[in-house]
Amino acid sequence: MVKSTLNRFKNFDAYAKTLDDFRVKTSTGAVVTLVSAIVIAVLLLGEFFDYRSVHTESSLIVDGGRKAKMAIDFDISFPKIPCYILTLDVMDVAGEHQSDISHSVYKVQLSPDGSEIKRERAPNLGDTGPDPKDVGPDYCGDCGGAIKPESGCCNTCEDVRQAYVRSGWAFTRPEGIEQCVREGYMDKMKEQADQGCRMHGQITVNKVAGNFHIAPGRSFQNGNMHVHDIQQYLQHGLDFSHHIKHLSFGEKVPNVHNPLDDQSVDGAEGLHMFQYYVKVVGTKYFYLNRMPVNTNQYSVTQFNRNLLQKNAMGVPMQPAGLPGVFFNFDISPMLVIQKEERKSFTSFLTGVCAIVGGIFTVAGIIDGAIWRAERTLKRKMELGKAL
Amino acid sequence: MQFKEFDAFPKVESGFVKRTGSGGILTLIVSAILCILVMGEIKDYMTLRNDYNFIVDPLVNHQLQINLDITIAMPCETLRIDLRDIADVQLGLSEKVEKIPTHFKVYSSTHAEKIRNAPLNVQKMIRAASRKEALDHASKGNTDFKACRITGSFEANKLSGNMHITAVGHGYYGAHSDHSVMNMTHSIHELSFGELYPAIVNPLDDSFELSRTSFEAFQYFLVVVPTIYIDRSKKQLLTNQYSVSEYRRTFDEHQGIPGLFFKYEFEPMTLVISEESSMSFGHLLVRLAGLVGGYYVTAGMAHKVLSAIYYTVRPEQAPLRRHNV
Repeated sequence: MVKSTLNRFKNFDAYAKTLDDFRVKTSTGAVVTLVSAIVIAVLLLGEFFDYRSVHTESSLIVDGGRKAKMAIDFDISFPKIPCYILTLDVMDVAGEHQSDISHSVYKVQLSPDGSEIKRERAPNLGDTGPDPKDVGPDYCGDCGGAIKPESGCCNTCEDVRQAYVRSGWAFTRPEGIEQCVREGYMDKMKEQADQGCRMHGQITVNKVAGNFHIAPGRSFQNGNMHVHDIQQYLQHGLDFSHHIKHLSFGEKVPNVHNPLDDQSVDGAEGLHMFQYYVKVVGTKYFYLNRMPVNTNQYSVTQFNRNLLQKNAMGVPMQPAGLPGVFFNFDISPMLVIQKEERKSFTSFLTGVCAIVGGIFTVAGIIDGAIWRAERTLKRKMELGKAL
Repeated sequence: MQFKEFDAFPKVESGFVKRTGSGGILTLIVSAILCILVMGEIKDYMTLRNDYNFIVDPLVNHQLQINLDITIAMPCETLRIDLRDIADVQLGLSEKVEKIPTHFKVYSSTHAEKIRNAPLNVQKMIRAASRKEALDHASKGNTDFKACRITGSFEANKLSGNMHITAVGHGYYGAHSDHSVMNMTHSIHELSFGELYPAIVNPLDDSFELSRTSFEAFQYFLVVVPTIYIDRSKKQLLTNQYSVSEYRRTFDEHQGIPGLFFKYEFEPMTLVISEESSMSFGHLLVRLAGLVGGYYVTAGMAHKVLSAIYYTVRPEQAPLRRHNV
């Protein structure tokens, strides 16, 4: 029964076999078969790896998106500057404080040999408010004769310092000020004098040009100006050696290298202004089997300048700029699209079949040629013998 | 020697070959699979992909058209529009555009959003360019309306510049506008560079920003990238895309100028997006030949191996072999 159904298909057989009687097997044929089998194996292996491997296709388009946010991740160590001196500010393109910023920035005190001592979350970026500590509710501190703030009181050491700055006075003798003594300001300074500081964390900003900087002294807004109080560091300078362990503008994706990772600058005595001009290029990465990710790459140009200029008498001149580390970022209008791709299974199958079929057919032609040549040669030789 | 000798495909007379039923079934199956795969291959050949190329703008540029259609929640007589570029050419635009008193209207952004999120289709884009949408001027003429629609197209230098809409008397000279009427709430219906193609959706089209104070500045930073679209039939469309980053801030009186500021600059590169099939016709032929040949031969070999195994397991089914003596 099965036999007869099978027989019905006989006429379709494109693989009609030559009867055994009419087939010749030769040893050269065996050699050719073996060689072609090895070649096939090697090629198949290559084809398989090609099929399994993922390659990325990239293209560039104009970024049409709006109102995007950008997360800045950073980890920067200053081995020569104690934490209490440093502040981090985020500015917008017009040079004003950006207000609506969510952040989680940590300051870690580093001992001179680089080990971590204490970590704390940095308070609000930039402006610092008065700290209602263990003083009474109607306490109103004296500002030491300096211009008083709007509230009329200098309740903290910080307030006094700012009042001094407003009056243009140098804040050099904190041990004579009641608020500072109470807060242990001098102890803090002495204790941390030879410490370093590591700042790390994440800030989320709107995706517009702007800058963020780490600079000495409390910063505050004075009218339209962003001011850092650096009077006390002018005489001796500060060593702004720094090590950038990590700086990125978004999630990590393959094939993206952050050029500032693990960069360090040593021996920056004096008052240096380090400028990093960062051009941020939006990147959309399509994974093979995950949701696409929006992130950013960047390129960077760096230069620095020593601001500490002393005149002939050895007295420092007013610096033409602010010491510190500045990251000015600018947004590129282009968006890089990277797409992970893999060959489809059918195209893999086609490749396999093309290799197997192709090699065997070619091998068959070669084998046939060899066989024929052999036969002709033999016949010629027999003829030669006969002659 | 005869020409026949070159035949690499010596044929075997049908008397000397043996056809089997299993071979027939195999041929049918292989043909079916091949049909499907060939169809897939042809479909691949027919699908288009977008090819992105950059060229440096080869033209000497002079002027560029800017198209504008913005509604602001302030009376027309309190608004002025100006443009200033890096050649310091200052252009009072108030005469070049139309100011129409109207009701404040927020355009629905659903349609624009849908187009923005869809994958780029060059042909649709070129077709959209040839479609002219009439701007509705229905509410023209009534001076009681509290909002102003500023619409029009004008020529400007193709240089970085700053186009801004401010209240009269704030920033520029002029009668001082009362603070109570000042409100920079606005909706942008159209902002584009180059020839006006209303149906092409730009990043700022149909956007809306609400302002709650009299003193607020909206800054838009635009980078314009000239773009050439080429579809499969080589039809070209030259237009400009742009990217936007924006920034708004509120301030007290005298600390800034309230208004809408569009700061634009041009990229020196021209983006060429061309629609192309993913392979040439020759490539398709090569692939088809490889496909058909490969599957045919490989299936034949598989059949040979399988039947060899079958006959070793059940030798009684094997065809009789005559042994050579």
